[in-house]
Amino acid sequence: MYDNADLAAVRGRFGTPAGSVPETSPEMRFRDTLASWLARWGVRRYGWSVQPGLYALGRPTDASPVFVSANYKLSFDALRASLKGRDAWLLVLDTKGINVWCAAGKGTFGTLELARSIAETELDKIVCHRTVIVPQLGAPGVSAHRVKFYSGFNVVYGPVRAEDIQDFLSSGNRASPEMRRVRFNFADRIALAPLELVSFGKYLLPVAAALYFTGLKADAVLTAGALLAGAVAVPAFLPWLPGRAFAVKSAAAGGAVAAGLALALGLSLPGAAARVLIYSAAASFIGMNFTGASTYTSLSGVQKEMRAALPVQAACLLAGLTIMLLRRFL
Amino acid sequence: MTLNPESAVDSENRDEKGRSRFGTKKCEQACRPVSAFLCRRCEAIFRRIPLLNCDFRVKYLSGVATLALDNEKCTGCGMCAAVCPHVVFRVENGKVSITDRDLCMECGACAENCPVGAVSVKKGVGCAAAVINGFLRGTEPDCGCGGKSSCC
Ligand code: SF4
Ligand code: SF4
Repeated sequence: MYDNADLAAVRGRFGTPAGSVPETSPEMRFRDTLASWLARWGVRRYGWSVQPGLYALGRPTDASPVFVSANYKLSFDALRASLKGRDAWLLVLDTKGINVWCAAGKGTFGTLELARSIAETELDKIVCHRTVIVPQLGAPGVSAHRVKFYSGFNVVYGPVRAEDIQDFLSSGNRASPEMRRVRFNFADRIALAPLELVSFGKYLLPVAAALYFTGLKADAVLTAGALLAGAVAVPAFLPWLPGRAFAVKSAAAGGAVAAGLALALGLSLPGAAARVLIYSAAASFIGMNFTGASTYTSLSGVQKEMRAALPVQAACLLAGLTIMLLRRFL
Repeated sequence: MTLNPESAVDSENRDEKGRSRFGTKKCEQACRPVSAFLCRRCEAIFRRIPLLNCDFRVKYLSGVATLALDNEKCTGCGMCAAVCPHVVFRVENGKVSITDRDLCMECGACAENCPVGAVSVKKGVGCAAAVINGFLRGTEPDCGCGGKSSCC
């Protein structure tokens, strides 16, 4: 569907003192927009890697800036699209098709890989300056002073978001505090919902279908409701949901959805109570996984939250199931 | 961005007919003094769509972050403040201080980039799936992003 040259929007070769490099364009084609949608929905999840190496964008000279990126198509596209009208070199590290932030957390977007790429592409022969611009979100994996030591290149950290690069360049490679802060606004959050939906939907939708065909229609609807609560409502309404722990926020969302649906379906009080317990526990578990996609949760926090939440979720699930069983047999 | 008119070239601020792009109704909003746009809850400046863009500076659990700063070693170079995605550090009079430890997400950028090793933090990815993975395999939390698979 996409070949290597296509993934990187290569449109030719560009001669440099160290041999020719692929030339890419800042234009976003329909194919690129399509690719970003497919990737967001988890299609070909690991197949979006761009060939690592050096790329030319525009008509770069030996004085043009060098931008470092990961070899995930969405990271690469965000960078090249934001460099419209500029001449630059793009140094793409081999991060196994993972985006900058996650790869930096893992260390694949890291000091040694950067130093290795600089040496391998013979960047010192191509540019006369000794500066590479690394996205700030790559900083967890890159140690600026060690890159300098290994490769002789200075690392300048660029803004968090590619869209701020033009401003960053116009202000003499300086990022304002606002450009340095990670945001997590509605658009950022909702863009992550499809992947959450897909990763839990693939288990829960068959369950819902099975429930539907065994005659438990109300539970089929509620299962779908819990999925939507945990995977869509939690990202969408994160700041407004009560509590700080994601398990609590998600339980609230799941509880509200389950209660609303139980009311709409006209369930009896014990039946409704049992459902609220079961499905808020399910939504709580689903929503807790959104910690991985969020931009502000710490590992220590997640561990603390899970130690407390998992037993409570299990207990709620058991309590709900017990009520339902008792009602059936008493 | 329209918030910084100085950075824009004059010709770019005029449309085809030579009219200024500023001073229109839409622009008046964007160019109003920033103080008018300060959100009471998060003190962030509202941008384009206030409600949707507001993240309230949502905080995660308090008192858990493992971040520590050794004031003796710190030279005040400001590198940690430059790389931190959550504005945890403040540089003042050649020394750096931690503003709010609870904002730290333990990404490890500050420790990695401090040239004198004055910051320490137990680096990790705050991801429930990774914690479960690590627990099941009896290893450190691991989202399996290493080889052929991915998480985030
Ligand atoms: S990076 Fe290290 S030396 Fe520099 S200001 Fe931060 S703590 Fe101090
Ligand atoms: S670990 Fe990351 S979030 Fe925490 S203080 Fe350091 S740079 Fe900031």
